[in-house]
This record gives sequence, structure tokens and C-alpha cells, in this order.
Amino acid sequence: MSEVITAVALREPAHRVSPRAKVVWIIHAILGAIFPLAGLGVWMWFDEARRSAQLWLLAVLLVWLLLDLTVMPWWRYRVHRWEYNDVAVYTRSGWVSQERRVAPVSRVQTVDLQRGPIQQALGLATVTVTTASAAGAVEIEQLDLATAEQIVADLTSVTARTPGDAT
Amino acid sequence: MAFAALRWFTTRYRVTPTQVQLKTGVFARQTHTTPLDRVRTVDVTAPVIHRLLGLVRLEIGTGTHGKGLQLDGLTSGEAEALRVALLHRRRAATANTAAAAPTDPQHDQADPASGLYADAPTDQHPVHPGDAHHLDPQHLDLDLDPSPEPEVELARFDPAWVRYAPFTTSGLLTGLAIFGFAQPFLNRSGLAVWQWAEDVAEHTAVLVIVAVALVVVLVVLAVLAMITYVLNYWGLRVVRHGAGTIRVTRGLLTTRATTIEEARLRGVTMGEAVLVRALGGASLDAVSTGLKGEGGGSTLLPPADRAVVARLADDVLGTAAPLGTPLVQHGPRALRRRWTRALLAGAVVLAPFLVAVLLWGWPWWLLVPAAIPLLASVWLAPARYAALGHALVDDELVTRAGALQRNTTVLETRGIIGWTVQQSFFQRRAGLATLAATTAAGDGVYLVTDVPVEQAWGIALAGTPEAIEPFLAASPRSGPQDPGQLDGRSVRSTS
Repeated sequence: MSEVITAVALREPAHRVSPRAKVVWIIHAILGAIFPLAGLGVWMWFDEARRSAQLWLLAVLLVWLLLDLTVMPWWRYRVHRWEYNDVAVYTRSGWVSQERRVAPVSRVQTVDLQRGPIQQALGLATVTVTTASAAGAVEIEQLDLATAEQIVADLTSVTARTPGDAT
Repeated sequence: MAFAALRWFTTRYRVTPTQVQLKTGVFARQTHTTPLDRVRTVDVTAPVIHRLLGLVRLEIGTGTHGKGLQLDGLTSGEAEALRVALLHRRRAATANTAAAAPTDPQHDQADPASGLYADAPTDQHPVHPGDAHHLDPQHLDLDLDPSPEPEVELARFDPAWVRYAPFTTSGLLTGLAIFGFAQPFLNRSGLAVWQWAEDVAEHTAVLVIVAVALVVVLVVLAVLAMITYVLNYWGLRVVRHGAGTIRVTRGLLTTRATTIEEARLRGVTMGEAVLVRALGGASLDAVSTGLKGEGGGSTLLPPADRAVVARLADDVLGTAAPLGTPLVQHGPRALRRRWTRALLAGAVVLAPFLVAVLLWGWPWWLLVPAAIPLLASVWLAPARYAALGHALVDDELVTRAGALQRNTTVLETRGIIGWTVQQSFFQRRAGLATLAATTAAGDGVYLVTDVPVEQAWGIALAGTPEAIEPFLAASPRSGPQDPGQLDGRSVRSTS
């Protein structure tokens, strides 16, 4: 028979990501804007007839870049949080749209640690916890390296103790 | 021809007590190996030419998203023995772990340590002289089952179901695709038709011609959809095997037999295209690890009578009527969101046409088709809201959504391997969220759309308590601040 579903609220995950995460997000914002701006630049160079349309587009791109540089990193830093224990991993991420994920540790298949070039320069790392679902990977972005390595070690040892094929 | 023979000579498969191996390649040799305990489904297909020669193609699903292991050109007898060996013998092997003795008498000569070797012709030519006796009609029957375990028939094809075919989404799309394929033809003769139409038009009202043409097109589409349905599903049988598998056999010319291990089954999806639903029909798909969500190998029933679908769902899941459970609706905020989204989408379609007509003098009648989405939202928004719902029944999550294609999924909570609560900016303002239950089976993720956020966590808590409890807020709010958000109806049990 149908169970009663009580309305409950979850608290925020306990920990923030590294404060240096903001630097990574700012660099990502700049890198993300370079190609559209370069494309527009080429267009402006070769086509002088449509100046007004080009200037409108330039304005839109610059406003977007400005928001990405001034609002996004700080907003993200307030949202991105993580926590784990022996039973589950709990994360929150996003800015304008946000999501929270809970993955039971018993269903974890792999725990990966990734470091892109920017992250390496800043001493940061991303931990990806995958489950058997194609849609189920839980990512904790921009942790400082020591924390990330600790998480990987902890989760790996917990996962190894759990029997079954995690489906 | 010589190459075909070479390919046949160089392709071999082998089943050991622990794995399946396939060796292929004339020059570049490849060995594909799959552990037996990763085999989740076995799909036996026999296209027309294969059937004439008594051959089949066997595909082993392993739950990875890539292509499974494929053995083409087995005799149907071999395929059947292999199917039993893969799915049933493994069960026997796990039952008495020490002795991996084959349950199938056919395999008794094969030494379990070295495995069973067999030749697998990979071409449609009857290269194997010993195949002659396999053309015997009884070997064409995929239902042939050498194992002694009991079978129970759960559902059987009813020719009356063909009436649903023209009203399915796929039926309409197939018809349109064939129509599009025939387009060049129509264009070539289009001029003549147009002149003929003009002649006729002098005597008849244009409207009549348009109406007749429309009827002709619809009839052709309906017939095509019915032919496709018969080709795919004629003779369908759903059978439960005593050893713990469910087998679906179907097809008029190309026959197909899919075997799903019940232990891998995590739920079912009932699909109701809007017109099929109006006629009292529905279809059923398995949600199983090793199978994609819809269509293809996961089909349990094509569009059929809803009562049959509900009964089969109960049989397959082994629980009482989860599909018939009254669902909890998502509340007035979800309804408002359905309205804004439908109206906005309609306005976005209409706006450019309105501009074109008013500013650039396009013909005004273009507004009529352009306004259809906006007008349709009057039906669409309430219909989409009415479809939204969820429930937790006997350790199963039931979730439903969609107006044009309404899908109801029943997912066992033991199959849920994670939760995601997504909130867009507007959802956060409305206090709503989309809850995603992730799973290793089927589509990989099943959504409970636009549910009040606190109820979303409530579902997750009820589904997998041990994973959610540690993160509950210190003083859990007993209810939302806004009384309209969760009225009695949305939280009450429907026992």
C-alpha cells in the first residue's frame, strides 16, 4: 500500500570547496568568452557593412562576460558544497540552476581524481564518484589536493568493503 | 564467397564455466571475452533469410552501453542451447558454487574446465554441411526449449491489438518517414496531379479535394503503421521460465526472442500515447540492467489493451497493481508552472509570425497554423498537470508524466543508486524541484518532475532512508510555510 511521504528538508553539505575555486571559474569564464569574441572580431574585420548588428552582439557578449566574471564565481562558491560519510556522498553545485546529489556509498563503482592544467597550477583537484548509472556520477569540483586525496582514499576503502556489483 | 568461408572458419566461440569468448578475424585476430556473471540478457534474432536457412543471430547484453557480444549464424538449436547455458546454467553454477556442472545434458561431453567449443558460421550461406537437418521446421521454432524446467505463459498476442498501431507515436513517425521517402516520387508527378486537380477544381470545391487528399494520406499512414506492427509483434508471447527468466518472442518474418533475467529486472514503464490511451490501450517496457529504456529489446508488450498491460506488469514485478495506485499530485505550483511553460512555448512560436505579418506584410492566414501551439496549451497545460504524479508503494517508486506520450514508471527502490534534486532558477522561486532517481537499469535516470522540494527529499528519504537520514536538517520542518504548497491531498496516504 502507498507509503506516507513526509515533507523533509536537507541541511547544506558541511564543507565548502577551496577558495581558490573562484580563480578557476574566472579563468574558465575568460576562456569560454575568447572563442565567441575572436569569431566576432574576424567578422568585424571582414564585414564592415553590418556594424550595428555586430556592436549589439559585442555588447551582449561583454555583458555575459562581465556577469561571468563578477557574479558567477562568488555565487558558485556560495553554492558548491560537499560532505560524505560511511553511508553516502552528498554534494551541491551550480549557480543559476542548482542541484544536490546523494549517492549511497554502497553503489559507488569508481572514485576518480582529475587535475586539469589550471587546477595543477593552483593545487586543486576534482573528485568524480561514479555509480553504475550513466547519469549517476557525483562530482566534487575544485577541492584542494590534500582534501581530494583524503576523500579518494576514504571512499575507496569503504567501497572495497561493500559486497555486490553495485547495480 | 571464399572470404565468407574464411570468416566462417576463423570465427569461434567458447563458453567456459566463468566466461564467454568470441574469436574473430581472418588477418587481425580479435578475442572478445565477457564474464558469465555479467551476462544480463540474451537476444535471439532470426531475419527472414536466416530463418529459411534455420540460422539465428544471438546477442549477449552485458549492461554496458556499448554493443554486446554478437554471434551471427548459429543454428537455432545451438542458439537455444547456448541461451540456456548462459542464463540458466550460470544460475545452477551459482547455486552449488563448488561444482560448476552444466545443467544441460547436451553439454555433458564438454569438459567444464576446457569449455565448450563450437563452430559459428558468420555468414548467411549454408557453409556447414551438417546444417541440412536444421532446415527441419521444428528447428525454426524459437520456442524450442530443451531444459525441463516449467514455463508459464504470461501474455499472448491478440490480433485485435493491431487497431492501436495507427495511433502510436512511432506508428505516426514511421508513416511520415515512409511518406517523406516517397516525396521525390510525389514531386515528379506533382505537376500532373496539380493540373488534374485544377481541372477538377473547376467543378468541385477545393475544400472537398483537400479533405479527400487528407483522408487518403491518413488511411495510407494507418495501413503502413498496422503492417509495421504486424511484422514486429505477430505471434508475441511473454513467458516466465522456472529458472528465473522472462522471455519475449515475437515477429512475423523476422523473429526475435529476448530473454531477461528476473534478478536484473528493476521495474517497468507503461507508455500511453495520447490517442492509444483514449482507445484504452497502453504498451509495456522492461526496466532492466543490460537493456536500454524503451523499444528494441526491452519491449514486453506493444500497444495492447490496458487491462492486459496492467496484469502483465503485476505478473512481471510480482506485486499487486503498482500501476493502478492512485498517485499523489504535485500541487498548484506545479500546475501554474505547466501553464506558464505551455503559454510561453506557444507565444515563442507565434511571435515571429506576428512580426512578419504586421511589419513585412506576410499573408495573414499564416497566423492560423502558427497559433495552434498557443491554442493547444489550453488543453496541454491541464493535461500535463493531470499526468504528473508519484507514489511509493511496497518498496516501489511510481512516477508518471507527459500528456502526448504519458509514461508511468515503476522502479524498485533497491534499484535506485542515487538521487539528484535539480532546481532551475524559476523552480527555486516556486519551491519546486525535479527529483531524479538514478539507476543502472533502463534509461539510467527516472524523473519526478516539479514536485515541491521538501516532498522530493521526502520521497528520497522513504526510498533509501539510510542514505538520506544523515543529511536531514536539524529541526526538520513538519510542513511548508505556504499551506497551498502541500495540501492534504499531496501528503495523505492512499492506502
